[in-house]
Amino acid sequence: MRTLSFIGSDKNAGKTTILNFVYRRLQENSKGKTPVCLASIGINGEDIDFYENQQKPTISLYKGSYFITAGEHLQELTGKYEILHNFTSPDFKKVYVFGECLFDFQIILEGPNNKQEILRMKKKVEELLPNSYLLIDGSIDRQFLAHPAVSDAFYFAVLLSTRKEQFQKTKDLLFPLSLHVCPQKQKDFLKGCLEEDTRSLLFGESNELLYHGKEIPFLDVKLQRMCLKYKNRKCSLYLNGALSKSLYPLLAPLKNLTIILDNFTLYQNISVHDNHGRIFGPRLLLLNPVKVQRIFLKQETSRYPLSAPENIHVHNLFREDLNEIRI
Amino acid sequence: MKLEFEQKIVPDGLYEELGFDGFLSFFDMDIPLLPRKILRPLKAEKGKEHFRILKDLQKQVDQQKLDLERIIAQSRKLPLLDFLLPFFENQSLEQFHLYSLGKFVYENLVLQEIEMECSIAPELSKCCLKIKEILETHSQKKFSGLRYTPEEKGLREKIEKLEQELSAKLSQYEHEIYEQTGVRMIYPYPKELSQDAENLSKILNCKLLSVTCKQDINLVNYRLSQSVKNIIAEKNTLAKKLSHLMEKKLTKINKELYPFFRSFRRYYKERKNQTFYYVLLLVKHRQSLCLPKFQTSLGCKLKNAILPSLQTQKKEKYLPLNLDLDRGASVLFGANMTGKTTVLKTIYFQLTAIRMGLPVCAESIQLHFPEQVELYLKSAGNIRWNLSGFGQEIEFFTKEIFPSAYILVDELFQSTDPIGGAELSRIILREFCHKDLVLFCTSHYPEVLYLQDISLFRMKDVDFNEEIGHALTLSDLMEKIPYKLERILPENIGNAFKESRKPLYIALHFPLAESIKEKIREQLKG
Repeated sequence: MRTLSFIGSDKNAGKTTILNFVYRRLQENSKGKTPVCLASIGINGEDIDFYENQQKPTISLYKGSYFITAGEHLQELTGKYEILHNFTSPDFKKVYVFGECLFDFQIILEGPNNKQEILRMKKKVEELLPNSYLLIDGSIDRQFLAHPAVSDAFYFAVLLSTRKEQFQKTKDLLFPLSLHVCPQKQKDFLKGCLEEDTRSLLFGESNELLYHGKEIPFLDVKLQRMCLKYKNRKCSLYLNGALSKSLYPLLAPLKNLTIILDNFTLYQNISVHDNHGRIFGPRLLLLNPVKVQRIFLKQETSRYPLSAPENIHVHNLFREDLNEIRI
Repeated sequence: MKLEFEQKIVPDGLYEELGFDGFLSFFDMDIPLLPRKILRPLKAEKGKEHFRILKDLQKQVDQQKLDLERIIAQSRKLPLLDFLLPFFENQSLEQFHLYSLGKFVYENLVLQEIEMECSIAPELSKCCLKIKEILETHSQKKFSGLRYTPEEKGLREKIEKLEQELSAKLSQYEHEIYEQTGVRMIYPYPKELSQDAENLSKILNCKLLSVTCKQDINLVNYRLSQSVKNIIAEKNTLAKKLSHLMEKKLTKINKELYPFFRSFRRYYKERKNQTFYYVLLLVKHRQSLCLPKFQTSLGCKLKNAILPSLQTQKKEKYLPLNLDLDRGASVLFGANMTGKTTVLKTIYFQLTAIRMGLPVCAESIQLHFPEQVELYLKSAGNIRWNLSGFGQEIEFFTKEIFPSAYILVDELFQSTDPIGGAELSRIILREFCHKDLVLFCTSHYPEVLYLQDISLFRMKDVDFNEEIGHALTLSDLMEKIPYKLERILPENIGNAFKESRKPLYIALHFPLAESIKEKIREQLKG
């Protein structure tokens, strides 16, 4: 089973359109031989954006496809699907139905937004549909999505807006995609130290452990003290919690520090240059590489050029010949 | 299944120290039907009934009428239905509810076959058969889909045909757009074209497309032909009709199922209880636990009782506890570090487990049901409650004590000066020795040895006589302590009193100042 997750840089970045497109293309490519299952973390597929009162693209499923969604969204679909499994309490906070479409229909996808439940779901899908694609409608603020056990690869829906703030969000989303992965030696060291609840690790040049934090990094006062204490030594800081706006100015002056983010979602909307033009001193690396399958653009403007990382395919669904786009 | 005690049954520190968590983890099992159970103390009648059921089931297991491993394996297949019971009662079960309900009744029938004549609530279980029949009538593929009537089937076929037709029409439509404009479009994805796009004029003139200008781009969208629109409309009408029929079907199924709701709810509850009993017995078997035997007379007889956390720590050096406590007051007399408190804690652990309905770690236990178990461990007091150690001990004895309670007290009134403490100990023991309860306490006071109507015990001690002056470390000493309990017969009370000089012998084995040791020796000789 291959799990492909979808992330949008902003609202109306075209994520649902991309999900529909990739889903449809996978169906066509495999000629129905490889099952495709759609799931979500959170909720998606409503036809109206209640905040902006705008029509939204819906999620359309074809006969023979599979889905996982909350039971409450199936009321209108009685008789139009078959059930493979019900995910219920105590393992799940809500009832989620794993079903197969007997007809083409539109659906609202809703899934759990925590790692344990998603992993349990994946296990079941793998058991019942071993050679399948699982498409997860994701969200950048769900950091667990980037865990290697959850997603095998990502599709990004990126909005190039005329609004500066939205464009900045896009830049911030794309920035960590160009980060390098930490050296194998450090990877091995980290793998040996990491525990399920590890949130941060501070270690020296010879991999001597200086601090092992289990609190959310931006709330971990001891971690912050230790970082300052060793500011003149060459150290590495592994973070399994957001490099947040409050943590950023504290770490910014530490030029001897290398920050290893567990995954790209931990880099949260922070520019490498802060408002006062100060440069962010630490070097940034990733522990788990980002496997970007494709970036899809939705361009409201051509004013801001996009600097996508090399070797990543960038497409525009609305401007290119769709037959030429590979997924 | 995750077992937990109701809060405040066992004081926090003690819960941890005695390893209740570890003991309860014996019962951890992946059984969807019983995800979590909070154990509450049982009243005597309920508790005895609970263990009677367990005993009866155990008999069936012994007679090989019940295969517990097989039963648990099958029980794991039964889904938890708590989430759908309100819908069942409200006659608003959805298709996915029916799947879980069907799965339950189906797997439950298999379980009943394994249980054979030991099957639970045979009368109530008939409702499961009825539910299965109804569900099988209306569903297919092991309840995963609804069964169609010929009318519904006809509608489905028509919809499928229209979907194929629509797909063909849309392909043709996309092709025509390409023919007319040279632009490849895939329905329903719109296209954005710049103002200077070379085929813009062709697109603007194409009746198959609509163009709206948005900022600096042209947004090209679809203008579906009437025939395509008709297919979509027809498909929607048929889909609506099918939805209506399905809704009616669901209402009918709910109506047919509803008469069995109450019986089913009772049966489901019974099944959960029964599964709990199976788990208890399976763990009893796997961990070599025992079921307590209840007697009408007051007292408690433990044979090879174990404190699991201590056994894990001490491994083969661990000695189980054997003790026979009668009604009234009993005193455990003995030197320091001989394991008196551990004896109390072991008894407390066993009594608490029984009180909560669990099989226990012992070869056998015979007792009256421990409806009330109180334990007092020596304390240094509590500043927050403004109580000294003595105050806390006095407060302990102000608790309401019901008949047949078990009261366990460590170092009775050692919390105050020895003269007053000994006197209070005698008063308390005299007060309790004729009551309908079991009071078991430890004490150092020799004064209590001569009280009438009190059972006396002592911890067997290390014989130091030959080793006086021989250097000993604390761990050496711990190794030598036999941790064995024995009854003091009236004729041996004098010897027991001598044993109270053991702390002096023990002290001699430690590297104390020679002047101190000399004084200890003089004391011993005197």
